[in-house]
Amino acid sequence: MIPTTLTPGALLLSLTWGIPTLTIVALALLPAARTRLIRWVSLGSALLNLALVAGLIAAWPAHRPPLGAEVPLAFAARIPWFDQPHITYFVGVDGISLLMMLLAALIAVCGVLVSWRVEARAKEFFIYMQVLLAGVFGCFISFDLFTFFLFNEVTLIPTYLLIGIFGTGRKEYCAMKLNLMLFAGSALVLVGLLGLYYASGLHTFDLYALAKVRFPADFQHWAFPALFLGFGVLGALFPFHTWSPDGHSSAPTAISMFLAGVHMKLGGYGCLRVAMFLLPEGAREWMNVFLVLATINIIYGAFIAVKQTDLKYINAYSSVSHCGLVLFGYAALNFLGVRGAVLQMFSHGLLTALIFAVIGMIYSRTHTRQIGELGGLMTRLPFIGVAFTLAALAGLGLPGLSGFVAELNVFLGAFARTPVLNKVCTVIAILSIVVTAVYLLRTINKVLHGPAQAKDEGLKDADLAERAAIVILLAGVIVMGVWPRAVTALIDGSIEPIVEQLAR
Amino acid sequence: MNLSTAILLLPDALLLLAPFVVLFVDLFFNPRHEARPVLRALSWVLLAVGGALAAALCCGEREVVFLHAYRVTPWMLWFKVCFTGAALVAARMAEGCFAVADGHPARLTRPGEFFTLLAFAAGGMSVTVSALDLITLFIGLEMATIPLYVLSGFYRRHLDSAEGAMKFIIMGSLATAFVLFGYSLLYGATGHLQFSAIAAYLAEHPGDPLVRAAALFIFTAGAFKLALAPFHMWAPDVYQGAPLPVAAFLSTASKAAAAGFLVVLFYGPLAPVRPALAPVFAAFAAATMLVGNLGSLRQTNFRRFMAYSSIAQAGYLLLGFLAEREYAVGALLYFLVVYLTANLAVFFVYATVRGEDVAAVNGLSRTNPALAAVLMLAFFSLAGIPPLAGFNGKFWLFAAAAGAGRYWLVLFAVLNSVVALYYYMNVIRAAYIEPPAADARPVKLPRADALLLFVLVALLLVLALWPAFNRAVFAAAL
Repeated sequence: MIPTTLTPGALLLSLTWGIPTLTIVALALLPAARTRLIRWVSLGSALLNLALVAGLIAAWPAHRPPLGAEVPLAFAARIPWFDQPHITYFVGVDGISLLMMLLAALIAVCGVLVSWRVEARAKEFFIYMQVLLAGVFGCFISFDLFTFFLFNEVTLIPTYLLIGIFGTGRKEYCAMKLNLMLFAGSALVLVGLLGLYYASGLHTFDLYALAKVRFPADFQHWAFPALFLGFGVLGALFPFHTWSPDGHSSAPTAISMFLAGVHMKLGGYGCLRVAMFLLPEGAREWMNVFLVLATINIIYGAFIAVKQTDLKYINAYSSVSHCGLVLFGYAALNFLGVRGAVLQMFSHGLLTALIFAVIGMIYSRTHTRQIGELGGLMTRLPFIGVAFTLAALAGLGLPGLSGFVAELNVFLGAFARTPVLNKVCTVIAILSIVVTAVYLLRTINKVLHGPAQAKDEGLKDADLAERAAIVILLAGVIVMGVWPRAVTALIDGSIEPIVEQLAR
Repeated sequence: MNLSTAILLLPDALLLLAPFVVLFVDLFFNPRHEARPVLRALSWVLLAVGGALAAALCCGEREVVFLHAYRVTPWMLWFKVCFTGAALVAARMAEGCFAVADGHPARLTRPGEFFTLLAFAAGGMSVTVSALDLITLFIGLEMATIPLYVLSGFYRRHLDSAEGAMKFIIMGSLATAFVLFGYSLLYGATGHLQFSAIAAYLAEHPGDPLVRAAALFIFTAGAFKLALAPFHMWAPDVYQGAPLPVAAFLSTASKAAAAGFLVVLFYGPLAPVRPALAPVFAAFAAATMLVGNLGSLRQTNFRRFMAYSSIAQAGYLLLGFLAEREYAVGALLYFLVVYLTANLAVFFVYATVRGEDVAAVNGLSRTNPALAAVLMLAFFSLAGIPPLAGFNGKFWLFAAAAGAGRYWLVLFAVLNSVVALYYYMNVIRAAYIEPPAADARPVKLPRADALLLFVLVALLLVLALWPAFNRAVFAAAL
């Protein structure tokens, strides 16, 4: 039986969004002029959260429920919240959510580190960033669909302000576009959730109670695409991805990192957790459609990235392509595919954050992101240059780095499915790696190599805070690359129940 | 009648006394006709009403019936909370309009009349929701509306104001005609004015076409009052012409009263007819949301903007009527309280910056960060973004439509909210991203107003997260 009170474990889980919330209060009370203190408070809070998540991961093997448990979550608690409509505050974690929380905590720390030089309206900046963090963490621990949805929506406010106030380029347009498209995606999700609530006959948003219901086929027929598309918008599913290149490119560095690295993953996470887990028949019925869309995502994103000249847009389209791999993995509907997708979420989160961080560092020094105006930076900025190169290599799937592990799983899973369509799509998707290599290597070549430019004389390489951020992210990429078991051991046990449900 | 039932009647008694207290004070203790003494008198009476409401809600009985014509139950008390609160905030807002220098376009004169009428309107609304027969209902509705006609034309020398008031009177009278026609049909069909007798008749003749026609006419009148499309045309003009506090009162208390009027009838004697009217409700809801949201997009005048915004909100509100009574009344009350709170906060901010245009808040986060934060949170609540209570309010109503199986309508409503998010965020953009106007000075906020705004914003958070309120309104409806 899951406790209905705030147990110590549930309290710890709640602290993952509680710490950011308390930080918001603390920051709000600080005078705006004390930017140094504001930065340190933000960093302290991010580190504390990282420590908390690390502790939770360490405690996971001891607390994980036995196989076949009704609710395969650790530290679970289901506290009644509203009676009418029936809503609980149902928190818990499994391997997948722990991995996602680790990703969020890592990128949060790095995000604060790379924002060390933000001076103008720094107080607001860090407050909004904490709101974003609170929303994301809350999402990953929620297993009541209402609270899940609620935390997901919480991220909208800060995103708009962070891009609109602190962004670059056409920031106001991009911020609005991002918000409206994500909100429209939520619209579909909301309809799907209300459908689950009533069609189940249970009048509950409890994920695991709903999982026991066999929803009628005609309900699954419309509810699955509503939910999958709704979350898919956030996961940059073609053709609803257009917000992401604009939004991520115009956001300030730390926010690009967090949005592309973590926030977008909420979409992929929701597709798996809610849409596929609860509506397996719908998933089987519709998956070919989404398989084709995801394939387009992969190949289209890569080709568009080739055409871009702005570093941030290159990476943003590369994200579209790589996030396509997540949905592509789901479409395999088998263990390897889903595992690959989850691994890809983690790997891509680290990589894209790393690349956005590096781009931000280059931009803050050279004041341009156009690859035509850059060149020979390897000699001026060796540390940043090496980090960029490693990230690019990981992105194109070099063995020994994280991207390879994820992509291998995705492709193996996808190819294992019998229908010809799957095999064809897999071949097309694998071919996209060539295109990925084209744009990544070309970018590296243009930006880092060639003759050093005179105007870049005297540029300073990464400072301590920036180095720390790079090292943290790179460490994650390399560890996952050379020791994938560290990650798969965490998630495998939690993927199995989902795959079982898919076969039902 | 013992003490615990009498306490249920106390709020109404005090509220109906309020206009006379104001008149009395103005007549005998206010020789120079200043705003402060009358406002103070009204505020104290309204606070007393609030206290009485609180007492009635926590220690009163479930129901008291007075002279077979008047009834007070917990859910009605919550409506009265809405009216009283809105009147209190609107009165506070109005003080600024009396205080500005002579010649300022926002300047109001003759506070005695103004506050008397405001109190009368609130009293009338209070009577409306408590009515137990058609006559009382009619009296309440008219008592609520007629003072509002006068108030909306209170800028006697402004052409806009006169135009708005005139439109309001004509449209309002038309609505009254519809109500009366509906009543006469109802009386003709059933032979009764008493709700209980009408309900008894309908229990025997559920499919009476005459009653359905009557219900349709009565609903149309409600649609006028609630400014549902296509009967919304008066609202933007009236809001634009009316003094800001009156516009605030119209978009909050008056909406709540109209919703209360519909609840009284369609969850009261006309309940058996409601399922037959469900397609009508759905169509009106869809049209209203669309018209309100699209209408808001291009408005530059703040009050017109808020008029269209509240039209759209009334569209969401109507979704609640698709559900059964046990769920609907609670969801409607929750939505109304939250909507009122957010709307009043928005109006208050504009009253403080004395803005005619939406753009009056440009750069507000630089000139007064606290006020900008209030504006942002209130607009995000109206847009339905958590963790603000507006999110829950909308969610409850959308759930009502989903529970009735109308998923397309839910989708339509949520997509409408996307449009709404756009124009609400545009105001937030103005406050946070636009630079302040060249001649902008720091906006000063009196301490009492700051406290009031703090309470309103805190309510938006507390109501969203603390389940007790939700439980109370849903329990009140049972």
